[in-house]
Amino acid sequence: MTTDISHSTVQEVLPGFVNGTASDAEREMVTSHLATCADCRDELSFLQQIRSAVTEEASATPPFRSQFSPTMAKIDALESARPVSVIQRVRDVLGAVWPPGTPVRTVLVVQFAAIVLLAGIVVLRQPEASFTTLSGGETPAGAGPRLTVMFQPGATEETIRRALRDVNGTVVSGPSAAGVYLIELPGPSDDARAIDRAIDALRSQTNVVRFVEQQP
Amino acid sequence: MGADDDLHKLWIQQTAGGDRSAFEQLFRAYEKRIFGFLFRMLSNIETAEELTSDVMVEVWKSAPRFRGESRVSTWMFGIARFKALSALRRHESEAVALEDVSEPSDPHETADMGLLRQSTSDQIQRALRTLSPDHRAVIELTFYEEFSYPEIAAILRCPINTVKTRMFHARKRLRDVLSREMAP
Repeated sequence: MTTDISHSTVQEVLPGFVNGTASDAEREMVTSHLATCADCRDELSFLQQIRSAVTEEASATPPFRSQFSPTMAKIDALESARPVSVIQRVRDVLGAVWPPGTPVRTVLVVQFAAIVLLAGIVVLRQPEASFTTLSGGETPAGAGPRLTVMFQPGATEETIRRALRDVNGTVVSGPSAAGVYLIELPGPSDDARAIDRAIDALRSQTNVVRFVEQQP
Repeated sequence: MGADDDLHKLWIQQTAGGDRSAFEQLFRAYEKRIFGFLFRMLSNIETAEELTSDVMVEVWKSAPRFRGESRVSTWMFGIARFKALSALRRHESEAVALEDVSEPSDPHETADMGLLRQSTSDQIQRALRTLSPDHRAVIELTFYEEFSYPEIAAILRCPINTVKTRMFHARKRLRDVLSREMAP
């Protein structure tokens, strides 16, 4: 075995030498070192065997069902659950008529901001909003974590109610035009484990729940 | 690779603008690779399928924030790896314990042969399954996905030296497991 400093460097570079990501200089260094170092030649052979095994295992990856349709269903659900903000809509309209930076646009933006501010003050002075829910009585809008859920077309009101009761979920809005419900869970919004458990519980009821995801 | 990445970056850009056709092309280009990566980390087809879908939803949602500083594949594998680790944490890590898998099918078969050169692919594959998810990911990303150290560091969100250290320990672990398997 050679004892020069390049030995440890070559050992480090060998994976890149095997997978083709080593630079030309590194390849040159490795090649000249290999001529004199049996340990590194052995290691190279070992890494090539690992590569073959990994590749062989990967080629034996089982067939899978394409997830394109389910993914698009999730995206549709997310898109329809996400309200397009009034600000965004105004920005889109303004952008179509006056490009950013034009004086007219600036004046309109300032006026709009003032309107939003006044509207905010009015809304804040209103009594707390409440929702009439499917799974409970009159329930104030809480701060619990929320899930967007789509139910299977064949799910009955009773099976839906049972699924929601299992996770103590409350319907706070829905169905949207795409059939999406917003479900609120009890507990804090940052209790990831509890949220994951509820999501898993809902997902396990595949004959009732078609899609569930935490509301972004 | 560069031309592919340019095309994939264009698809990401179009996806960010809501172009579903571009998203579908991106989806088709990566679905199998992402599924394979997740399957080999999680050893469960249904979970890997579900997470493949979750990765793609994340790609759709995050496309506007992709800055194009890394390869698209690096970015997407980073998302996949994050989803896989979350799933592993959720299910209390399903990494298989060494004792469960290292029993050779015939302990005498290779006992009197040279040590590592005779390692069969099966034995290496069994040894690979004894690696921790972090070590396994480094091996997988290097030898199957053919990423460089800096790219793997970006995917795993760790320093390059951590990748090198994990690679070192993964190699050592594989040698140890194979040596034990082939010992008389």
